[in-house]
Amino acid sequence: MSDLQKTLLDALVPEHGDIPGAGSLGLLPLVMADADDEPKSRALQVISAALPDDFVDLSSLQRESLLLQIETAYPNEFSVVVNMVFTAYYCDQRVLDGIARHTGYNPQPPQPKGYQLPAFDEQLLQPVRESPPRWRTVD
Amino acid sequence: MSRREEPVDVVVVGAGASGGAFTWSIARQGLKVVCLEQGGWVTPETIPSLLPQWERARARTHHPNPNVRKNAWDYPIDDTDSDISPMLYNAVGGSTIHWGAHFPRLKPSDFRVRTLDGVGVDWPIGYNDLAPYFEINDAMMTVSGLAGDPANPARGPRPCPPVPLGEGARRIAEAYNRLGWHWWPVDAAILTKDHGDRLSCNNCGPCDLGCPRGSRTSTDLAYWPEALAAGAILRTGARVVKVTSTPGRVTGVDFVDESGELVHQPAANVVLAGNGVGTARLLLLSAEDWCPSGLANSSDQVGRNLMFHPTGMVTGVFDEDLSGYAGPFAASIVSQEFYETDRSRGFVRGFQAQTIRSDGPLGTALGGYLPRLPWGNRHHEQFSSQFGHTASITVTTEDLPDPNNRVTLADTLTDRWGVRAPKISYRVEQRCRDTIRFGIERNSEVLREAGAREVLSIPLVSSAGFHLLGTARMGADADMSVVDANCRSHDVPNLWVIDGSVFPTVGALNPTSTLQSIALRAADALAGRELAEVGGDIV
Repeated sequence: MSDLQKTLLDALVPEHGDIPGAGSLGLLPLVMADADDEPKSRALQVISAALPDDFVDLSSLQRESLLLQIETAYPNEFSVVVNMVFTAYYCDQRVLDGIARHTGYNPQPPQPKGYQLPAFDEQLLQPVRESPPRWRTVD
Repeated sequence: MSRREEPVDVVVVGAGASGGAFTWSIARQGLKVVCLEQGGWVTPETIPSLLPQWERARARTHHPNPNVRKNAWDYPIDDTDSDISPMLYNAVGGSTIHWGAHFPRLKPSDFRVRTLDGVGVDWPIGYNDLAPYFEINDAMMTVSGLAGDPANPARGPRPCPPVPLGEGARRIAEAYNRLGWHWWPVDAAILTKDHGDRLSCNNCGPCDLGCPRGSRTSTDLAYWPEALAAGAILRTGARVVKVTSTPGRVTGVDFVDESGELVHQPAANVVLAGNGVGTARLLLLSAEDWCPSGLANSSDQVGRNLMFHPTGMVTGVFDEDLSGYAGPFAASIVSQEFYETDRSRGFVRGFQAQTIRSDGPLGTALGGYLPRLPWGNRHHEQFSSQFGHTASITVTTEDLPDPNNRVTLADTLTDRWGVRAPKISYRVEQRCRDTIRFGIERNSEVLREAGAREVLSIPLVSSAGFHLLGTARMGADADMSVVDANCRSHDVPNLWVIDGSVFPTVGALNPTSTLQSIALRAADALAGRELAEVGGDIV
């Protein structure tokens, strides 16, 4: 079952550049641990049980096609599993470091570093300042 | 009953936005006041924006919906019959612990919707009654912004300059200028310069997780230190389960303390500040033989007229990197171009268009401002095109009071102490949906003018139940309202409600500035009455 689930994770979030897919990153234990309440646990169980035994042997396109059928059959459970896998993947430091390599994103927590932004430029407001009052007066 | 506390002049239930402001004022006026808060203090080192797993925390342990995060001090809410899910937080500071800190005031017309537009009800007070309290509150909440907005009455200089726009909001502001539409930098309860030991905002983004720098104001920082210094007593971990009463008069409250012991707090006045869900729940839980439908509920208005501010969202995807994850997520600019009624649009009342920055990696993947990203082979392409490349505009509309939108007590759902949970029953009215549709069309124009290559919209953000209002409304008519213009119960003269429950109507603007000002005004009314009563109930 764990091979099937690992392949499921890879199919939901495939490899990207030098970052392996969610399963190959070793995120299955994290996803399993995240299934700590009945809806999540049940969703993972339902979707895993729907996978055929030869799922690992299918091509990428075949897996995706099959998963679309499973998603149609079990939309709520599938959605829960996708959320769990996305959560594990995008909280992984290797993934965040990869995002940072391609963007200006700080892969560390938002604090304490934060970001520098230019101060507000009041010149932008000139047209608005010249407009008449537009709120309704009342007695 | 195993313990009975010493009597006080005032017991306040809830240490959030309104409870903090009220307690500060009442303590400074010399009354003996105890505030009971079911949550605790949030310490800076526990704030998730310091942690690598901050986005996981946002989706789980620090989710704004108590039904999701399920903290020990939360109570569940049955929202199975509601179009919108509630957001609230239980702690010293209340929901200001997890807010975006956008801080507009209701406008003069918002207090007169029946007279002006023939819908809803008029308030028994007007903008000018609150004006002096707005100024006091702005100073206490260390508001940033800029005076001079032509879409609002004049106000004093803001304590801090506006928050930075960032690239997305700058583009949208320029688009508004080209279209000739109104916009203005928001009033935000966010420090843009150092204030005592609180540091200026460093634009980290997720204000809703709390702010370890103390830049984003919450009432645990703004009001509580001074309230405690003035002699107020604050008990945390104190879950009030009932307001006690004899016919026509409240006598105090019963609460469960952190050890699980049931305690009675006698008080000459009981003041409820538990938000539009918590306060209604408590009034309904406090029914007695002499008030079988709930305390202060001879009008049958307690729990009714629940209003949320139904909100839609439109998002532009830009080719350029806007680094939209930088900066306070909810605070940049707002347009009130379509705020006041224009009947040619086919509906009365209007909407606020608030620019929202973009999200972190997980937030982008899970969606919210946009639909969730696809899984599978298209996932990474979509992520790359959206992450940091979006800017959003919310279309926040005005609910009108509907007695069928309401808070009641759940039939079977209870909190961990076996006390009945609140149930919310709520439907978004067609006028709000029409307003959102119009607002999405107009702001899609803005985003295209700003250069977005793709514009997507969400017609109703069902998770955005961030404003809990209207369920114990104020009014002059005791048959149609719960409290009077000073927030004092019509039925029970020493019972007061000071939170967003008292809003008869809600405008289309974030309510915290207004509800705190109402609380400060109510404190003056209560203190004035108590201090004038020679030989009264002052302890």
